[in-house]
Amino acid sequence: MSNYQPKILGFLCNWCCYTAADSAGVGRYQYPPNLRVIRMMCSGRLDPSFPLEGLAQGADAIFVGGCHPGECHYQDGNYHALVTAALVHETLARLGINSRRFLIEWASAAEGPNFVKIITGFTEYAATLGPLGTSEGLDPTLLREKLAMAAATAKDRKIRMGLISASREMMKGADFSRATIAGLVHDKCDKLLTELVGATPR
Amino acid sequence: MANIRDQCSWVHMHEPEAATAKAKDLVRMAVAKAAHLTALPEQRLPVTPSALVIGGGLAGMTAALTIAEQGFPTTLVEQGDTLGGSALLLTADRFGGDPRKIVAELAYKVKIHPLISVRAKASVASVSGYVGNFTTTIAKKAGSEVINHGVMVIATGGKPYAPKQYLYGDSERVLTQLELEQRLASSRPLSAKIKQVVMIQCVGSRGADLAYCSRVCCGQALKNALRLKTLMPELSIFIYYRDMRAYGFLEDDYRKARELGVIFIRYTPENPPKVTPGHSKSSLLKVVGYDPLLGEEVELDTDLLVLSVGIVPEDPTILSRMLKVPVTADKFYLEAHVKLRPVDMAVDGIYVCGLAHAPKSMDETIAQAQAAAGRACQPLAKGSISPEPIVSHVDPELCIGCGACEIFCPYKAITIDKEVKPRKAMTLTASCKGCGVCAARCPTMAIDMGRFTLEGIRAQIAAFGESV
Ligand SMILES: Cc1cc2nc3c(=O)[nH]c(=O)nc-3n(C[C@H](O)[C@H](O)[C@H](O)COP(=O)(O)OP(=O)(O)OC[C@H]3O[C@@H](n4cnc5c(N)ncnc54)[C@H](O)[C@@H]3O)c2cc1C
Repeated sequence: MSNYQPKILGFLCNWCCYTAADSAGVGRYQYPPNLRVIRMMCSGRLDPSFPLEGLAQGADAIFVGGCHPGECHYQDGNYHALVTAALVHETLARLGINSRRFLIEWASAAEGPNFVKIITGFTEYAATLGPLGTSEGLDPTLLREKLAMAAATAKDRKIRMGLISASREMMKGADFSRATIAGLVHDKCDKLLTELVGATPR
Repeated sequence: MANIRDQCSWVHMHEPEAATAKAKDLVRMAVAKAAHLTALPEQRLPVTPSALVIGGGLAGMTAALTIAEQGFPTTLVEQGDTLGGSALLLTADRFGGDPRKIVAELAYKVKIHPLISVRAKASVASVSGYVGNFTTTIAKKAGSEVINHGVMVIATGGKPYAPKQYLYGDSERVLTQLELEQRLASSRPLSAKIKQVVMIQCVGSRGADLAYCSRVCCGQALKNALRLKTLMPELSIFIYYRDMRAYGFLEDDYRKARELGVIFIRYTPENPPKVTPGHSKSSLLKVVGYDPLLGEEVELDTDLLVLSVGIVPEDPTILSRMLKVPVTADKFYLEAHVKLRPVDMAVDGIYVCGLAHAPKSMDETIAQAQAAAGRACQPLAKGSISPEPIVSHVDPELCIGCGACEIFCPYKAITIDKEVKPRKAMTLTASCKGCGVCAARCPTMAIDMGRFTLEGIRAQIAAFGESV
């Protein structure tokens, strides 16, 4: 197991994390070669189906990187990304998957070293979990099938309506803590997720 | 693009095999995306050939004048009743010139310039539009005024940090460098009885109340120390510093100060100098500091204690929200790219200069204001703009007209077209910045983004999967 290399798929926003990754390169900071990056303009673009599809397609872990809270190039895209992230976390937990296989973190364009720290830490953590299904004690093939179904569920209109109202309430309440956002998403999507994906494990 | 240099070969220098495998994956993913790329239509939009400058300090005045001298009408909005800003608090530059005079001359040039309209005691109440076509409401006591302009420059400046430490406010012997500057310019600067002056650098800065270095305070301390030495050559001056930032030609001042006998004592942030009052109001202050180079405590009695305080930006919260531009954790306006677009904001057509952007000296402020004006004149001179075509577009077949996109769009760049029935969303191409929040929140996935399409991203994910 010591040679195991986790496959990590990353979604980085153009303005902060992607630029931080570039600046890490310019500074020749070294980090584990496990991450494969898809660039987006904003972490707010993250569709809930993307990370689930990534896991279904063979990733062992997913990383989403945006600008620091309050520093989003587009004002509040990263807060909406947190809403999406909360749905992904919920979904993973319901599938019996360690939800910490999905990480959303921030690094500003100037923070190459911080980006390196985040990716190094996450890669090391993902390595301790082993390939998808191992730490969960579940059959990987079956899990990936379920993930593909969950990715389709994330495109469901009612689920997405739930995300809309979670995002709206988040903006109205102006409380952008992860716990509050997770609570909002749970409230809005619990019933449907239980129906479509399964109940939250106790 | 497959980013196999900055994000691969340079960061995995000691793992050539793993790096090559990663490079192959990245190339495969990029090719998969490229297969879905299509030519995107470019738009051409006209530009209103005029500018708005917010803030009438050294930066704003320089920018307004530079733009106006290139032939474009400029409105300069200043919240106070006079032009000039922070530079009016300074009474000398490094060369002995008086900034107050220089700024007054600049203000005069601005006021009489036929293409500049100054709006003092005024503020920006609302802004809408996009590069080339901004509409701004300026609020004044007498009422409001709406102006159209193509570009805008943020020059809202900053102010000195207000110290509470080192007995400031409790003892008349404690003052800031700016207060010392005022005294040095008065008719009777210092009493002849004064024998000793201590200065402390980095007060409130670099990890205390302000996280950052304010850049000008070392130079200001050197400048004022040299002025004191010119006035009273016998005066003993001690400067407590953490790191002297005497960059560029300030090094000459630093050397000269040492030659004239100014003594520099280092201190560490964990162990700053301690100041205690004397027995009575008239007695001297005692400053005790630990010098880490000497390895010993140094005790000084001082007639005057001068605090070098940093610069706090003007609170940008309201304006930055209005303009939809980001600020840093320290509340300075954040440029679009440190090296490639240093005076542009993330929003096209908005530029920044002066203390609003970061602490800097007057000459740096002037240079940056000219740079911002130069950038601002580009779209004005060109006469038209072509926005990046990475905008959202709506599939009317899938759109259910729910309006979620309209709610979440930070730029009011997507709206529900009320003319057609049933209601459908519609992108305002010129305002859209391509962030994609609308697409992520669209319940029917009816919105897609130019160059970052659903199909393209899915193809990248699938290509990632092929390696597994
Ligand atoms: C404590 C301190 C010490 C300094 N020492 C030195 C030194 O020794 N040597 C040196 O070279 N430089 C020094 N500087 C720096 C120098 O003062 C600045 O570089 C220069 O004056 C900055 O000009 P500015 O126009 O950017 O900002 P400011 O001079 O602050 O002007 C900003 C203007 O914008 C106005 N404004 C703000 N918000 C709004 C709004 N929303 N709407 C309308 N108007 C608005 C303000 O009223 C003000 O008039 C020092 C600065 C400080 C604060």
